Amino acid sequence: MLEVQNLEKVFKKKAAVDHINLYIEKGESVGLLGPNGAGKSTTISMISTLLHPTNGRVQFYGKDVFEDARDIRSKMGVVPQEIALYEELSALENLQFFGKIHGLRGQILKEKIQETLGLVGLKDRQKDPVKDYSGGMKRRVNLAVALLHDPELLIMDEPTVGIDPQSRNYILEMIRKLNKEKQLTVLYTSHYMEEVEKLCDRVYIMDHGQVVASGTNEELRSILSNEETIEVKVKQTSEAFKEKLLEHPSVNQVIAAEGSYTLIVTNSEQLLVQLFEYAEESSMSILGIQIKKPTLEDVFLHLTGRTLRD
Amino acid sequence: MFSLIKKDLLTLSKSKNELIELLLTPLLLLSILGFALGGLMNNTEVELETAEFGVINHQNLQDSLDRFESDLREAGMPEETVQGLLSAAAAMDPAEQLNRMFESEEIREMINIQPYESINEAEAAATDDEIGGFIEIPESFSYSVWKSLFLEEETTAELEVTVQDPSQIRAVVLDTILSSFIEEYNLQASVAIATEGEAQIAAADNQDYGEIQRFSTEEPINSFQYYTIGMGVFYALSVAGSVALRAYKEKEQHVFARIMLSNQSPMAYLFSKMVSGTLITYLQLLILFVLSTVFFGTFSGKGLDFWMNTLLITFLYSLVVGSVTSLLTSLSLRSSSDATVGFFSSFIAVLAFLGGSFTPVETFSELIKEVGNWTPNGAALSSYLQIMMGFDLAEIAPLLVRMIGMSLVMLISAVLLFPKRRLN
Repeated sequence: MLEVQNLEKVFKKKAAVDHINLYIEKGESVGLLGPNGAGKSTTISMISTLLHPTNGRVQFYGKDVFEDARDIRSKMGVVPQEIALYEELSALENLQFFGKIHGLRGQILKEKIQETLGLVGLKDRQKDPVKDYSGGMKRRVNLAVALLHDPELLIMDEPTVGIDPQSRNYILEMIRKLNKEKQLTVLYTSHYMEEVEKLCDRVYIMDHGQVVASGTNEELRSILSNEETIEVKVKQTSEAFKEKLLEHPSVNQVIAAEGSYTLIVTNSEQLLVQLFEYAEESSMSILGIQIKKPTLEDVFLHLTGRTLRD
Repeated sequence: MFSLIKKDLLTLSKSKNELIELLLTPLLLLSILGFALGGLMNNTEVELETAEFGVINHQNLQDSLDRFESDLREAGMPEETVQGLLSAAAAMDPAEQLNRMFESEEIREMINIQPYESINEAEAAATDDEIGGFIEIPESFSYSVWKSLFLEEETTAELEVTVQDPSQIRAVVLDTILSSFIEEYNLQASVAIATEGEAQIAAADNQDYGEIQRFSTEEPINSFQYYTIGMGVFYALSVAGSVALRAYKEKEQHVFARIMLSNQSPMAYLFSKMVSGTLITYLQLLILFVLSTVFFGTFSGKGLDFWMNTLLITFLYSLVVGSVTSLLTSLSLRSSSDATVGFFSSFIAVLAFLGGSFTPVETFSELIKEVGNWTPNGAALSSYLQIMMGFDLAEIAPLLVRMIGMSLVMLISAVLLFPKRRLN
């Protein structure tokens, strides 16, 4: 359905997107995972025809999107990271406006609005001004606008930023339902690993404008199949402790955070005994140890040397 | 595009702050200025007493004609020419025309003229404050005027005016009326000579007085009328800033991108901003004029012609504001800050000053007045005022054409500057 080839965007001699390739099949749910500044939003802007690339091409059903922008635009719904709504207008008025500029009219428009409002659970509050809504409700209207004209491809740019867990789950469940039941194709960007793991069939991991890895969740985790993640909670961190850990042959990576260390190791059993010795030598107190199976977060850590929220 | 315009009007209608800025603030300001500066602007509500003046006429028409005839014959002119010029001179006797003007109803409401036999008599009356001053028509006044007009000799004709205090309002009124008379007489005489006498009858017709110098015979513009228009054209400019700022917010909040993704063309978006700016300005000015008339009787009693011409000027000015809106929209969408709109909002006060919204700028200098007439608001203000002073639409056509020109230049600039490649 969608194919991105060697896409590049350079701003002031700096590559925001650096020759990336990706594809999406109809009915798939694909994630773009990466920290802030990885180039996800720029990639989405180019895919959705809002931004011309410096190099490369985007094809939708085999046609260059910039040669026939009207076609992809009419078949695509975009949910921007920002609340792209008129906050002084009600949800109903916003949907009426966006529906009309998408060419919906009369009874069809009315029915589509009510159907979409039902989908996002805002039928009861449809006449209230958007500015009076909670963050989660605004996000749901933001999503409703993108769904109004029955798109084939839904592109979502971090649609759950800054909202409560309940609203986030509501949105994720709704998208999963649309993807599974209505075969809506989804391109979902996020820096929340758990969202992408829950929602997406395949994932592209981006960093510094490049795709550093791609595949299904399982394929990506297999990058770390011989490794484990140990999370060590401490009272306070110490540089000496970190240096000792890095000298250990089983330790591949050590990431220090406030009150904890995340270690990627090949043999946890070998390390555990010595872990306490290192702590004692560094005059540190260990509060707890957790050994985990690798997550996409760990994969990202392994590939880039930094966390998704860096 | 209709949906985009409707949305602009809908969002504005929900913004109390903007409605207050666009409608209530100018209404409040015009009320304050209208009351505060009423006396300074010849407010018709301030009743002026009829001023008393004297006139001493030293000349005799027949003697002057005889003297002029003798000069013509000495110059060796053919009999036919002599008779023609004498007939024209008699019809255009300036002393007689001055007398007729003072007898006209409009002037008698302002000035009453008493004839005096001698200067001593007039001086005594002025000393007793019976009259505010007197006009002396010298013995050779008409004769000198004719020689200047028909024989192109240097004029020595002078009306001698004596007033108690030149700064008194009645002295100013007399001075204005006499200046108006002289300008009109010169123009009418020039027309008569240029048309070889065909316009002589019109020149002698009292009904024609005031058609050229309207301010001398029409109702003077009062402070409420002046400030309704002044504040109206001033605050109309803020419509452009207001709509363009919304466009900038639409870009910042990615609503603009969303609109573009609905397959609206960038030009349709730009023109929607222009039409929104035009419509909002048109409504704003009409509401302001109506409210001012309801509360202060500003334009009460004005005829259909006045309202039709006012609607036309309002439309053209709204078009200019709409074009400014589109230009600001293009500039805002190009830049990454709202500084352009911010600068324009600050600059509006300068435009308002130059355009004469706060005070008539001709009192400062002709240059400022001329510069002011090249500002959109100044051109509109001058057009409104001239229509109120009784000028025809044809006479203010240059100002109207100027407004259309400004609108076109700004619209073309807006189209050229609109960012076409980056839509997010």
